[in-house]
Amino acid sequence: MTALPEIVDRKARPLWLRLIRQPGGAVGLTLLVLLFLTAVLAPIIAPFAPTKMGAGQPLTPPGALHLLGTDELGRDMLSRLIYGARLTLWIGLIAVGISLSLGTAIGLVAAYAGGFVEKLLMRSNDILFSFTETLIALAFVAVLGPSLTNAMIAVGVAAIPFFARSAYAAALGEIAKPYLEGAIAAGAGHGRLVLLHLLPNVMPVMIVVATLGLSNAILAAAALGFLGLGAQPPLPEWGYMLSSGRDFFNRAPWLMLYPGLAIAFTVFAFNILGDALREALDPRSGGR
Amino acid sequence: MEVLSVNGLSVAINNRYVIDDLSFTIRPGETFALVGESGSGKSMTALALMGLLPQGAQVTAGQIMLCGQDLTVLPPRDLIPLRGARIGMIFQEPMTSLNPVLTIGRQMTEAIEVHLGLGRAAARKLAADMLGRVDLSDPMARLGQYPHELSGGMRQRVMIGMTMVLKPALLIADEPTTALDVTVQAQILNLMRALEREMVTSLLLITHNMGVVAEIADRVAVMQHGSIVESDAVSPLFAQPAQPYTRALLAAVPRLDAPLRSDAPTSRGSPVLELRGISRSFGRPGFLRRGLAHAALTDVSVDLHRSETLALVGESGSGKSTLGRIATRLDLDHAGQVFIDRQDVTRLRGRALRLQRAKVQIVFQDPFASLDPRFTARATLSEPLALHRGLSGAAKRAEAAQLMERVGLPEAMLDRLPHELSGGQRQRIAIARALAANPQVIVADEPTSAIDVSVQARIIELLIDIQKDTGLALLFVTHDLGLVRLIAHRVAVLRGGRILELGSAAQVLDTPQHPYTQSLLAAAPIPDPAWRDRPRVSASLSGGSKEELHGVSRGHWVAG
Repeated sequence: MTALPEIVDRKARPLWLRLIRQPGGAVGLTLLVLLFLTAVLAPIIAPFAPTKMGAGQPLTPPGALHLLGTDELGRDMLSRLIYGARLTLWIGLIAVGISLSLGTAIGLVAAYAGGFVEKLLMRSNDILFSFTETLIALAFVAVLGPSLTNAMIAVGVAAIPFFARSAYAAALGEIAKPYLEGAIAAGAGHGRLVLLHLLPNVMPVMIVVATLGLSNAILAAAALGFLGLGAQPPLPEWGYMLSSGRDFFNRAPWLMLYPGLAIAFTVFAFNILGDALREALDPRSGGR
Repeated sequence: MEVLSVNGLSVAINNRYVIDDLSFTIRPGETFALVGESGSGKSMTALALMGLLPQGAQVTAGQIMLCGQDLTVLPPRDLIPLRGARIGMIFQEPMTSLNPVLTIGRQMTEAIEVHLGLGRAAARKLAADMLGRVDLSDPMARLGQYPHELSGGMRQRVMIGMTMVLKPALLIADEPTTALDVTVQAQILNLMRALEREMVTSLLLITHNMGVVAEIADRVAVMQHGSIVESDAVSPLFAQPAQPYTRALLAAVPRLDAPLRSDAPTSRGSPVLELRGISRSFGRPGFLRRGLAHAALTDVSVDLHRSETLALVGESGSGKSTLGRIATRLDLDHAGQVFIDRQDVTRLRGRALRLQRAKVQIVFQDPFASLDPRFTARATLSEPLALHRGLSGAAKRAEAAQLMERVGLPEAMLDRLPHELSGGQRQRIAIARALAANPQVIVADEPTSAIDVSVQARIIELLIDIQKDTGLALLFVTHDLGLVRLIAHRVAVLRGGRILELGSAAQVLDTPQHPYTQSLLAAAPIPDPAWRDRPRVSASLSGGSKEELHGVSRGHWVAG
């Protein structure tokens, strides 16, 4: 029998390169880097301290000294929004951290274990899933008491069912592939199979879910803040700022406009980045 | 005049030519075969002809003349009525090319109404007519059925009927029988040949299978790296291939008239693997799940000795892969007993089972899916070396390097990920992983059916080589009888979860006793056009045999 040359696949493009080739990926990533820099550099770029009352006349309209105006206590809106970016990012990261870790764990264990464990975990998950996330978060805050920390936990816990479902579906797809059986034949035990084989292969999907989940968490936390169940005064949390501006809406619309825009802008950035990530990770998109 | 004439066609993706200056012609009523391995550009050619090139691919030069009309200069909108009416296309997987939520009738009449402008009732009649002509029983009733209610072969018949009903000038068939069993493949090829003659359609057959080409083609073009290497009428091309690539390709195809494997297993003694009375059923009825359990295996017993290869042969659904998985202890939910090295391992669980798995290893069909996409070759090999052999550090590295040498790969490839390797290289890594545990038995589950023929031959050589060196026993699961001749000492023919015939390779392949074995052998395509009109045995294949095995000669058992 004669030897013939074999053709080797070219190396696939790295993920980040595929990501920034997507218009959404480039824009979303740029926006989020800007937001992140704003949060980190807040003490340097903010013109005033965020909680300093009487930095200007109360309810000063946007102008040269106060670019975005002042609120009812004379605090500088721009400074509050800049510091608010820190809170928003923290809320997003911690809430998603909670839902990502617990949700992935539940989904993986259910898919891997099968049988009774699978039924128990996924049916309980379905029950939680049947309530809206805000309702679960509200119930949690009602028990724990209103505070920013509790709001983060509540928002994180409320999103667990969604993360668990996504992880479960992704894991089922991976379990059907023979590489897991190959690892079983190679002597791998349960822990190794789940942590070393299953988890890394499910992570790409979960990263996309987490990116989209970030925007959800930020919105939910803002909603809690708006209802007075999240961040407490004088923290410059965007949702709370939105709600406290409501009383002055006729006289000072900028009190609601700018926090609202900040929330929308952040959620938009995370959403398009999430979509671009999904596109970049999809093997069918052929690594454009 | 030619039906199709392709002149200097070039297609590029990202400035890389996937089809390079391709020219060929197809005459009326002729079957023209484009043969090549993966990456040769044969499927891309078909897509270019249909005007269905994927995004990013572009025709950069050349003409595609269909009945005198250049398709490359037509605007995309004008191509739509041509597809179906003038050019029909049949794909590899009929399930994915049929719409699962529409009835067969709806899908067929839609095309007829659009292209031929007939009314609903006339279209239905014509569709039923066509289904009769592709040899489907009770065509009127078939029109009301959904694709999932039909078998793979029946679906491909529907596809053929659906395309031929429009009487296209050219039918493009891209690997039309690759997803089908050999006996069904033979029927479909016969059908295509008959219809083509009857309806005077030209056929462009795209395939990697030299056997299929020999059975049906009039002229052949061999493709490699996007160009035609050699083109000729089928008989001279098979008899006297001019190009080395064609010769190599033909030589790599396992043939049913090849000599049997000559060396005998070295030792007899007690078997290393013994399966006794294995039964396995799937789909037990349960809560919210009605229906009967489907028996995948019924009372199957085989044994395997040191340095021996036992081939499990059968078509899809025969239970051959399930038996392999049971031997590997990946499937534990069965009746009957499994002995490995004279020890009953049927009831082993937990840690004892994990340790036991070292003795019987497995190589899967699709090497890409069976290697963790995030594990380098080194990590893949390290797993059994650490877990089964308890190696670490320098000893593990040295052993990994040795395994790479054993399977004929350079040590540098240890740091590659699966997608950076070719199909053949991946399968070598999978074999190295199986060897790493120092097993006594390797179950090879169709280890070459996902890779190119030329590479397949070398993988088989490697397995035989390793077996001669180490005295490894091989349980070789396959549907390809040509391969069986190359590698097997003994053969078990399975159908419907039962063994129908069991014996030495010579007994089963040269003097088959069971009608099913005979029809399997008759259906296998022979890569030699001279054999095209051989008489074909077609046994009645209805129902699974329920009879006991009885001996017909020493070591040769037949059901019936």
